[in-house]
Amino acid sequence: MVELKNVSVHYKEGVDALSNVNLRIEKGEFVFIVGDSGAGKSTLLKLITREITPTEGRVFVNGYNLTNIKKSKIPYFRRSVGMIFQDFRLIDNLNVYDNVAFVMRVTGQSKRDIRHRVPYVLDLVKLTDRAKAYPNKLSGGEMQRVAIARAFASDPGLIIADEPTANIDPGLSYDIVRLLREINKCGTTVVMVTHEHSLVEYFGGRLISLKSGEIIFDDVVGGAGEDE
Amino acid sequence: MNNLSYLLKQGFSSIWKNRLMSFASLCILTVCLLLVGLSGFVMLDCGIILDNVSDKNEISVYMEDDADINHIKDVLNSNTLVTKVRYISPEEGLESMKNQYKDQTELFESLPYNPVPPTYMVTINDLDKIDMAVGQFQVIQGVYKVNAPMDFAGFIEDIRNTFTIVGIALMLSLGAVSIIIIANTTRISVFARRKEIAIMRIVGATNSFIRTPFFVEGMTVGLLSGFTSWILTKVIYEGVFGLFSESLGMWGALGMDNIIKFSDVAVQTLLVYCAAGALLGAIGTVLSMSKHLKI
Repeated sequence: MVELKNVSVHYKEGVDALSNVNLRIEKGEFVFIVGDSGAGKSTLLKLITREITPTEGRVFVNGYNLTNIKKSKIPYFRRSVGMIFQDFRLIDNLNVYDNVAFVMRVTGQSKRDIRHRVPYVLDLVKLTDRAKAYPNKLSGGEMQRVAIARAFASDPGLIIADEPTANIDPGLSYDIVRLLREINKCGTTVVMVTHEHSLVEYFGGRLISLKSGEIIFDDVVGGAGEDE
Repeated sequence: MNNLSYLLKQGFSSIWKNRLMSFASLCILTVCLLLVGLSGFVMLDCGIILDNVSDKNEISVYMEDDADINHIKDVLNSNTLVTKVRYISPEEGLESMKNQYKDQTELFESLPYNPVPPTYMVTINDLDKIDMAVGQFQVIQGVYKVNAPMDFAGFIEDIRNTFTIVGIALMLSLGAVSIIIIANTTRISVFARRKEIAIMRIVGATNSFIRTPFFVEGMTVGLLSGFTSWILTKVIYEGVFGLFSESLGMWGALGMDNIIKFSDVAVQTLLVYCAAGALLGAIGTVLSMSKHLKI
């Protein structure tokens, strides 16, 4: 599903963002990635979404070799990955329904599929009654749920969540992770980057810790709060 | 099909969202097409008039009343440039003038005598040497005036050359301005939709999907400009054409009655205008996207 082989990323400014990283995430896994600022988390996500290419090594995601993928194939690769951001990135002039449907429209899915799929994902994130609301009328937690619904709308094999709980009330962070775990149970691989160690301690699961561009910890940890 | 209607809708809604810039683009592009189009018409009409004048490449050699017309005829016939000499008596000349100015017959009725001199209409074999021929005819004894149609032809030629230069200059300068304005409109559209574009990239929209609405926007403005300028050209050209038609007595003699009628070329002109507008719109959009929408 996600594989990095001897990957290093050196930026022009002389920064070594990642150094000889080897990583494999299997289909259906839920993985937390933690690390301080500058540890290499963002660089890792940019590699997985093919925003950048490694200076050395190879990156494989969802069966695509991202190191030498053709430019014209990148959009098709990205359709297999759902992205969730800490700043939600919703389109202000579209309501909740259309924000979710937007992904399906731009990837050329039929109106019929959109009519079936969007109500399903809105129900999954418990926003059916907010379908006609615009982003400026939503709370932070609701906006992030819309973003999760949007990421899941095209039924991607992999969801990348980049600090999805950073801009919402701490109490709601747990609901967001619960939602992502629910999506994970449907068979979707979830990679979640977070600063909040309390979430990892509460939910447990595979934890990858980065420091100065290197993986310093990669193992399954037990959670104190809920069972799988 | 779903995508196409979605992309068209996005393009049209973008025109409305940036209506001020779109309107500015439309106006500039319309003025550009209108001026270039009108210059083109003038150039073509001048060409037609020149052809007409060239067809009538007869030099009028007016003689004194007491001139020896036979001697003059011999001199003219002996000139190597001359191919044909035709005599018009004063009576025939007056009759011809009366026919030409049918609306103003009272002018001729009040004449105390026939003012038309005996005339030879001389056809020469080389139009380029018309000045030389005129010079040679003027010195023949008994000739008091020589009129060459090329004086008028030279005037028309000057108009055509001026409009050719003006037309090309307008086409280049206003074309460049139009492209810059459309490129700027596209830039503003890209900026207004930057968030949407970023999300499109993330979720896997193809380059063509992201770019098509901007093409729709640029080309629609171009097509609308083409249509608007076509209507304006029709109104202006037919207005001017009408003025000439009213006084065809005078202009007809100069070949003006043969100039292009707008109704004969209306469809072709519309197609050319719309194609030119759409092309300028597309060029502006491509230039802007290559700079501001790198995917």
